[in-house]
Amino acid sequence: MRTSLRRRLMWLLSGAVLLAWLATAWFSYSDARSQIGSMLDAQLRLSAELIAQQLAPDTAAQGAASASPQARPDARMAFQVWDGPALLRQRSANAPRTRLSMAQQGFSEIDLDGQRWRVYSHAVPDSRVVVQVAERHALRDELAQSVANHLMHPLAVALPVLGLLIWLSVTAGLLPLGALALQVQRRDPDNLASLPEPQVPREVAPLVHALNALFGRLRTSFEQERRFTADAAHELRTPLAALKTQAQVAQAATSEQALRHALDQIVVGVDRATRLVEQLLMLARLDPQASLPAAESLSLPQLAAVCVAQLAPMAAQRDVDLAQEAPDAALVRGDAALLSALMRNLLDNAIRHAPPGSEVELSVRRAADGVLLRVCDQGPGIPAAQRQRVLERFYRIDGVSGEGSGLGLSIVQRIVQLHGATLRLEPGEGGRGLCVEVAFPALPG
Amino acid sequence: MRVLLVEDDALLGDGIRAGLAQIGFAVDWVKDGREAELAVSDQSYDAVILDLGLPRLPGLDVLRRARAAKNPVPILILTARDTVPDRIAGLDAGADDYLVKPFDLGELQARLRALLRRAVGQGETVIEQGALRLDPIGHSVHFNGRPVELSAREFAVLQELLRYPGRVLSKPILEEKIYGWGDEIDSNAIEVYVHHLRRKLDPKLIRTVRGVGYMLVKAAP
Repeated sequence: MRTSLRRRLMWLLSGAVLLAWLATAWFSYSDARSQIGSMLDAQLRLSAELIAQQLAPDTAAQGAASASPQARPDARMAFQVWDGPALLRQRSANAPRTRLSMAQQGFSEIDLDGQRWRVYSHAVPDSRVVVQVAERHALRDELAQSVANHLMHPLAVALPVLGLLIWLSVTAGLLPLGALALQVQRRDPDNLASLPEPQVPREVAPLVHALNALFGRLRTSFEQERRFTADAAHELRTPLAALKTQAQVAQAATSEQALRHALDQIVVGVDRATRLVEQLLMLARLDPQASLPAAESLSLPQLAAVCVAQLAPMAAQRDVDLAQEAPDAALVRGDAALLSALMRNLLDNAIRHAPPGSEVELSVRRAADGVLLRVCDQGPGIPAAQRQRVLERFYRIDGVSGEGSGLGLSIVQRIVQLHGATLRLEPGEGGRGLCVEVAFPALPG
Repeated sequence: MRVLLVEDDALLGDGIRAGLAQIGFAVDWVKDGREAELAVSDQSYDAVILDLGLPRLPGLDVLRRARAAKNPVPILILTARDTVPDRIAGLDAGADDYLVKPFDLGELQARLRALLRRAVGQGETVIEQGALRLDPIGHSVHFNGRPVELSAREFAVLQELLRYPGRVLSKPILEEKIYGWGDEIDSNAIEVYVHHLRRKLDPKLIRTVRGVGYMLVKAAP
């Protein structure tokens, strides 16, 4: 069952109030009982002393015990006057003929005809006379009961009222929560703006803060998703538009030369669109991946040599020298196909941006905490302000012609992430060109 | 007809330029926003085709700056951004038309013709002047009801003269309207085209105003 904050508060508050009230009532009852006890004891003692004082000096001379005429059999008090241990001189009508209590002096408790009595024995000084006054114990209980009743009666009336007050207070106390819930409920699904935090009570603030953090992350991811879709549409539409236009130009061409040119352009366009689609597919495959199922220990220099060989023709075409600097056998754990794609992308980028006659170098070396892969060119480099942005999908540096898809570095970054490696872009030697450094973690064990 | 093409994609720009040349338009092609801004403000184009996603200066900024400078040139936005808010933003920023990529070359040509008609206040698609009848869409010319074969450049010169009948157009203006930046211009090319037109049509149709230019004689109403 769903827990209710209100019900919980109601139970806790009502229980606490009831408990406090019961404890107070119990203490008052005990206190009243003990007060009544001492009061009645004092009265009992006084009665015994009064009786002793009123004894005629000649009582001792009288013979048989006589019952006092004024004492009714049902009276709550009884008394005896004893002369010595065996001679009962006087008694009330309801008192037995046997001695009430064996005590000579002070209080004691006895059972008489199934009832409890409290007895005070008063030994008259300088004589053998003992006066005993008894009082039914039930009287004390009755009095204490009546005090307790007086205490409990208002409680019976006050408790429902108190319950209502508690309910109202709890409801009023929970109002900000209700308001917050309503605010969230009434939002339209696209609204991911933060909730206003200053107006929220301190107790709810952590929740609202966490909600706002969640909204923020959702906003960012939605925004990225939206931008990627928009960018992908744009990036796909432009080459398609180019293909269609060139095809229609070819259809309407009036000269052999114009037709030839348009057809050549169509081939170039299809190549470019193919590359773009391949890169989009690669990103789409990499995106949901969280781990590398095909990971194994690989020699990075060996893989690099294959990639360098693959790109050598492209470099030669642009008059760029390609060099590999990888003397030692550096092992990394990873996916061979992805690592090859990573190095091909880096080399492709470097060759595209390298001026003719310059050199692009790929180097692998072992470091204390892993393996470092570096690809350096002597091209224009990337201004510091744009180094983070070039990792964004479809981002192209201002003023650089849009030959690439704008996805290469995004793919590189994703592959780097999947390998638990880190990516760093920095200027090359002497501040010229660009060096991309990938730091792979050391192999475990 | 001289059109400024602003497009950063090499392949698409090349295609559009070739496609417009086929219907006798002279096309100047720039590839980024700053160049576009300069070209729009300096030159007198009959129309501008503007891409929105441009390096250095976004297309919408080029558009807004042109309109802020009271430049009335007809501007057609040609972009991959296809959402309704994008179209509204583009048109409200001062564009006269909006076409989404990928598009049909024929539609682009038709929309440009429509923009040019509206710019000179012509409602009809076919221009008639006396016995002369020019159809820009069908790319055909009739004189006294009989079809006349014209080359793309001859057609362009005649169309330009027909847009402003009774007014003198100078040789440089005519050259500007029918040649793009890269095109090679013969110093007497316009004279040659006018000469051909006179021969194929009526020798008295186009008057030479010596030292000033050429004028198409306005037919009596």
